[in-house]
Amino acid sequence: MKDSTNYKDQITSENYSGDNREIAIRMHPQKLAMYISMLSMTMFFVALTSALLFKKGQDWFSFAPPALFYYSPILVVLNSFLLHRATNLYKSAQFKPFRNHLLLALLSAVGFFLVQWFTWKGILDMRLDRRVVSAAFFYVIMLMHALHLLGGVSALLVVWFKAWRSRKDELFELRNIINPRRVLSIEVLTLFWHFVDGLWIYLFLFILFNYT
Amino acid sequence: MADLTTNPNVVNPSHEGQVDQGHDHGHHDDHHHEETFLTKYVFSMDHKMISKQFLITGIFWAFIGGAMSLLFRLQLAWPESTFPFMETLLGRWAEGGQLSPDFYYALVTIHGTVLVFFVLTGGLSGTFANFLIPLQIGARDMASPLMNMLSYWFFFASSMVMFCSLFIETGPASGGWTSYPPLNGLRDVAVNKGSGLGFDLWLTSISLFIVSSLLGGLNYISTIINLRTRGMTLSRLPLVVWGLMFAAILGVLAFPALLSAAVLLEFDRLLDTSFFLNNIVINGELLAYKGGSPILYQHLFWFLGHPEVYIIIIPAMGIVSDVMSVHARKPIFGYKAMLISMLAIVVIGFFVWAHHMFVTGMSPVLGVVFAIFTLLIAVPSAIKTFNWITTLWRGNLRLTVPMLFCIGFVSLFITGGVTGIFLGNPAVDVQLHDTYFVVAHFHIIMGVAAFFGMWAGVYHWFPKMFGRHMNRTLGYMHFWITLVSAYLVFFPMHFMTGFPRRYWSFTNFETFNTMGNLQAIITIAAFVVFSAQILFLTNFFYSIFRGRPVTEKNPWGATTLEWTTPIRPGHGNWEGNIPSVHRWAYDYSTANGDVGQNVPLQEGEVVH
Repeated sequence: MKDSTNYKDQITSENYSGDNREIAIRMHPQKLAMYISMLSMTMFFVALTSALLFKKGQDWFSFAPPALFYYSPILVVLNSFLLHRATNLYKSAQFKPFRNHLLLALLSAVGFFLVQWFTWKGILDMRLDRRVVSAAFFYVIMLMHALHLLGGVSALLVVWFKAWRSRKDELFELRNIINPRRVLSIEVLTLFWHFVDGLWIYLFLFILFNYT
Repeated sequence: MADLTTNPNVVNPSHEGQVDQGHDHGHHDDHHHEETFLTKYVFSMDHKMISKQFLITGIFWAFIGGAMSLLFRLQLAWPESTFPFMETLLGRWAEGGQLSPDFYYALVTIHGTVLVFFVLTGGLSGTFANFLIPLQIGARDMASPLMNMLSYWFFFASSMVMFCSLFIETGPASGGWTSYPPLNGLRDVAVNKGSGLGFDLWLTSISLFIVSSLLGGLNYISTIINLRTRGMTLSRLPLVVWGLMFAAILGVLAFPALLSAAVLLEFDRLLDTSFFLNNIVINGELLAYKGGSPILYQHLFWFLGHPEVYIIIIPAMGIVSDVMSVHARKPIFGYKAMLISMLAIVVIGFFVWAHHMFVTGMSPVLGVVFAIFTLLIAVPSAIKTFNWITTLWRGNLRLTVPMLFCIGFVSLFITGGVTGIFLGNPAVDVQLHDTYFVVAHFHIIMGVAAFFGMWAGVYHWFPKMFGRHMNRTLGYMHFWITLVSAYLVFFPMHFMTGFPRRYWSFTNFETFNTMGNLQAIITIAAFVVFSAQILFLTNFFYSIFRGRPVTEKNPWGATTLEWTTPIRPGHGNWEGNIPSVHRWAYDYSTANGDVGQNVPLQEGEVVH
């Protein structure tokens, strides 16, 4: 991980090396915990997709997902881009565009949910029996990914609400830019979103490859 | 993130520059904010209190699970007899004083589940990871005390759901701790009573437990990697910390597979999907499920199920290594070999899950691949056993209670390990699968041996946990009665190789009458084992309040950092600065005597 910015050193020196730390990885432990939890979430989806491959090896009914489904990757890429920009804007103390980017990221997440919802409905309209394993896998994969996303949306709402509440107090934000907790929370949130967005790209390609 | 404000890893500026005074405060909350009963004992974020919560919850479940085994052992020993107390205790589940087959299966299922997950995972890793990691690596608390607290409360919620499931009308889950479909994929209580609400609660409980394990594991790993005190390089970590970290890594990588199995199974049960179900006929009627594969569930289950046995045994191995070294007054033999062996077990452990499935009709070629990896695990296991024995060799042995439990662990590990080599061969396993031979194997190696590791840890670190000693005489009695009678319970099962496990009664099978009163002998021994645990329970709780007070900081003469804290450390562990580390954890009986990790190198000393 790149770790050259001053505030990160500050977190390390204030909280972790001031007390004689043996630093193996210059990364905040909570950020490290996020990376490890990403591994764990990856294993969950690897298990689900491996289960699909196992089943596909026995017998399989392929069907093409509704057209709307193909727009979903655009929204997650947009979401990741917006959050990446938002983090940089926050670090450079540009709070208004920061807030706007957060809002746009929220909207892109809502858009993604809508796309998923209509995709889901589209599959229901195909009147596939829910006992058709390929359809059931499609539902489960989408649902499990959406549940992960829901956690990200809640956290994003909290961060956006805090930023919006303090919109008239630029000093508040300025004070917070040296607050390592706030920087860390934004970074960890962005990290999580990059992960779930990337995860959807993987799942999208996986579905594309195995269903069509 | 929010808990950084309450994270005691943040240095309190008022303590900067102080040296570690190290005197006993005599109370817990000396230099921190005022605490209420709720924040100190219930919703505590202090890793030490959380560890005690895990331990006491684990003990609670060990007694529930143990008592269940006594009930079904009575049925197995005297299937024709009646026990009126059973009807009093269980009501319609034991009408006329005889255990009903339905409830027999429920008892076996819940016994396995709670012992494996709640006692030997939550109770063992939860207790010692929480207690030892910050204290031994030199940290004031875990990386995220809030997440740590949540880990316990998810465990508690999981426990409560499981406990409630014992009292519902259709009874608790009864389809085996492995909960294989199709039996467990159907919600029809006419098929199996435990398949109704009981199994939904079982799945909910296990899902909550998985969340608890993941929260705990993330915390353990990030704490060990990032919060070590100066000088505590990875190669100086005590083996128990390594063991706890490996178990946490296994947990965060393997538990999600079980979660995915639980999710798919619940879909089959509640939403009528067919992930695991296919062409089921009940009472002559073909159900609509089609296309599912019950074998798929077994793959997902055992992808966690097998690493789970290492999640249980590796922390116990770590505890035994360190406790043995302290009480043998010798460095652990082959620290690096021990470490590499544990790593090898962790890595290979991910590639052996299908040895539980040799009888599922898998390709013999695939079976051989899994068998080779399984047998490979014998190599690092044997290295570890050799190193424990050579640690004892010519040591200045102090046969304290924790030391006896360590030696007992090695004995059990060898006994249980040897039969693992039998079962790892598909040709042998096909004959022995689901027999009492398997019951003997896994109870000895991951049941009793892991318990021995846990007891070694409890007896050894009790003075640090509670500032008092446990009673030695009761401890010795606990050890000897448990060792002898646990062998009496499980060793004879090796000779019952043809006996299928999970049978309610064998009386209708002429072929099983050859073993005479062996079942009765095993049951009597099981009662003796259980009675020894009452001694332990009495000793444990009596000693918390009335045990002989600890008067010196380091009663065992150990070298690790936890013994440099005050006798009853507060939240934050050390009063002044955290001590730095200058050497490994095993400098016993050196030219300078026994030297703690925090003691700087003397002139001419070689650095470890």
